[in-house]
Amino acid sequence: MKFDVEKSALIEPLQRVVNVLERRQTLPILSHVLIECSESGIVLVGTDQEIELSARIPIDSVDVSGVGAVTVPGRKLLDIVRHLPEGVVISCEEEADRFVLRSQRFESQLATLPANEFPWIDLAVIANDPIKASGKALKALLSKTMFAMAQQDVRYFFNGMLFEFEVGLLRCVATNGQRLAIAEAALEGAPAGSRPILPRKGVTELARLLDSDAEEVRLQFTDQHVQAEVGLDRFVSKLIDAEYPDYTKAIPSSSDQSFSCSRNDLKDALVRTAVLSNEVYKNVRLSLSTGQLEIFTNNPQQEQAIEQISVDYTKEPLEIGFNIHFLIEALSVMSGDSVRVELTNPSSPCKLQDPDDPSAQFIISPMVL
Amino acid sequence: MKFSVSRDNILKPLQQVGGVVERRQTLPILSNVLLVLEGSKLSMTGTDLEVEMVASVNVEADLPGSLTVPARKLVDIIRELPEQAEIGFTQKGERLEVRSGRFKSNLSTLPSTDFPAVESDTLSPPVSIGAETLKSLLDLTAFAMAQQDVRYFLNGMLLEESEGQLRSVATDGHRLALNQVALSAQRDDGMGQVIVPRKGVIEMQRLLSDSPDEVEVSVSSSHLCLSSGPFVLTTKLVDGRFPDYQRVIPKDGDKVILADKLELKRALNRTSILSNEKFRGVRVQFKSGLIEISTNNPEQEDAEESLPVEYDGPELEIGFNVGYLQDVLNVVRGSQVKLTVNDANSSALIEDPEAEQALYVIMPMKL
Repeated sequence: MKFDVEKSALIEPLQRVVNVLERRQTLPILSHVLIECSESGIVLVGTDQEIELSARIPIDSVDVSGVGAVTVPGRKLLDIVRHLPEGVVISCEEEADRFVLRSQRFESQLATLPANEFPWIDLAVIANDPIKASGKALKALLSKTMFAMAQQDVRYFFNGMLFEFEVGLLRCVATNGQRLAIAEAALEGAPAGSRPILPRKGVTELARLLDSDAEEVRLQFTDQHVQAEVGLDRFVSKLIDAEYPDYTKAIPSSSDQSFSCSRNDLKDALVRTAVLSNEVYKNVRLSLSTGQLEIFTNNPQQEQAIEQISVDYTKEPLEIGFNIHFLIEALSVMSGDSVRVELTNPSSPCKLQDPDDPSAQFIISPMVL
Repeated sequence: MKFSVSRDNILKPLQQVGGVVERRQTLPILSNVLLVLEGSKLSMTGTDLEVEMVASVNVEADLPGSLTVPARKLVDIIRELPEQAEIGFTQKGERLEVRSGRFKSNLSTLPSTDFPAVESDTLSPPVSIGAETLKSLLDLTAFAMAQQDVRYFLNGMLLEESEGQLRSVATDGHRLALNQVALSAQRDDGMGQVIVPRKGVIEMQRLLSDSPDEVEVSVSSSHLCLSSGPFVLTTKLVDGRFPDYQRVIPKDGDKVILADKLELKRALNRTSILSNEKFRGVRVQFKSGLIEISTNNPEQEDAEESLPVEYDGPELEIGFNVGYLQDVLNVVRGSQVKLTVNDANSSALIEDPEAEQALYVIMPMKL
């Protein structure tokens, strides 16, 4: 294997692939990236055995003079490339069982492991045509919901995100059992009725991949995996093998006590009062009366904070408790100027929604104060 | 105590003071900031028993008094209030009420009499020095201080006034950094030699990065005091004898190379990636007109790079801890560095040919 490539063509694909590698791993090869060199260019691959990312550098950006494949320590390779001057050409070559990298007066030899030991994710043959989605739209769905995923919950399906396909529609759902985020967008050619669950790391890496400049993303699902093609990258993630619970039961159906207010005013007031909320329970008490919402926190040191904000509430006075951070996080991913808060009674969840954008909703369970 | 002040007037000074307060401490009062209102002057004090920072601001005073409140919570609340907000502070029994617009909070307090004050001895007459100058005196040497060394006097920086010069020296036993600046006057009653502990140095650097033109430094037998505008920083001194640094500076080096700083730094950054992760060794070979830098690690990976330099002495090979070389090159400001060595077993001297007052000594490493 032998190729010459400009630093600028190599560094970004390499960075994306190295991102996937776990810092600590049990198998040495999991700290390596696979470099496949062929007449059509080079492909860099990184995996943590749950997700896998292949980034292709096309033949017009790389000069291949010998084909082959080998794995090299990913982070070291990236460190070296990053520290080379801008604009230089990097020559790489496999010599015996070493990977030799030269650039100007610099020369290094990296350890290698054989390419045939690389632990590819065993992807089943994909029969269906890919679903084509706008990268921007998918990114927006993920950003609005991913914060609500659980972390290391024993209900392992909560450590991920439900992709719920209906006719012409994709709905992303995430919850940790106490708060729930739902966002949906129109999507042509969606496989109606399918409900795959992406694991947490798959969701965050996919969102990161869509960050760059993704115009279109092509999604394909098998029983156990999802494959996403974005530009010249191919991303594969295992799916969580479970049935996602019926989250619709958590959505409060009827609400008679609701109000709207400025989203930023509400968020800022919550952030201030959060300073003196209980450090363990993070609770806040909301008291509604005509035209006014009072936000109240206190802690075992007998410190307390109160702030009132104006709202358009007209019903009976109501007092209800929440985890203050669940409210702040939901208000932070919303985008409109105002927010509509629907309540029923002190023991029922509340629903937050942008009155101008019904495609996303946030449900938060109350806390007993 | 009762006063009001605008958010923007109190936030920055309070953040400086809060910066001294340690996140975790054994005494609850150490997480508090002391507020003292006298006349229209509010002074705020934070301490970790080693370093104390006091800031004064003018406020609309109503009722004088003093108390202590949790520093981090007070900073968090004030930071989250809208810009320009007018904030009212009122002591109510054992609480401090902080109020602004429709926001109101009550913070717990502890009595100001319990607050540990620094006992100040007689201070020497202050030396006045440019903030920039003092900051670069510290910045160019602070990296070489030891961390948690049993030789506790190395976990700090020597500041020495002699013959009209102010000198800073730091060493961890493997490398040494020295810098000095000329003072405006030579004094007989100067501050002499003092060792400022690590945290004191870091807080001095932090305060100086945001200071007006001139600051004042004075010392007592146990403390150093840095006044800058509305701030007074007091740090304990380390009671110990600093090693005789003059003996460490090699004077008989006869092999001198002159290298481009950036080129050398980048070559070291690249080659260091494949050095032994534990020992960080790098081999430097002096040849006519160039140096060759090479590393290898137990995985049998290696890297090498040659760099053209000004050198016409005999061939020589020396090993170094690459981190020590990188630390020096990170603070040197000129475009070139001068490296002087004698043989593979003696320390190397690094200087900035454009700023001769700073010098760095690095012990060699057996490879």
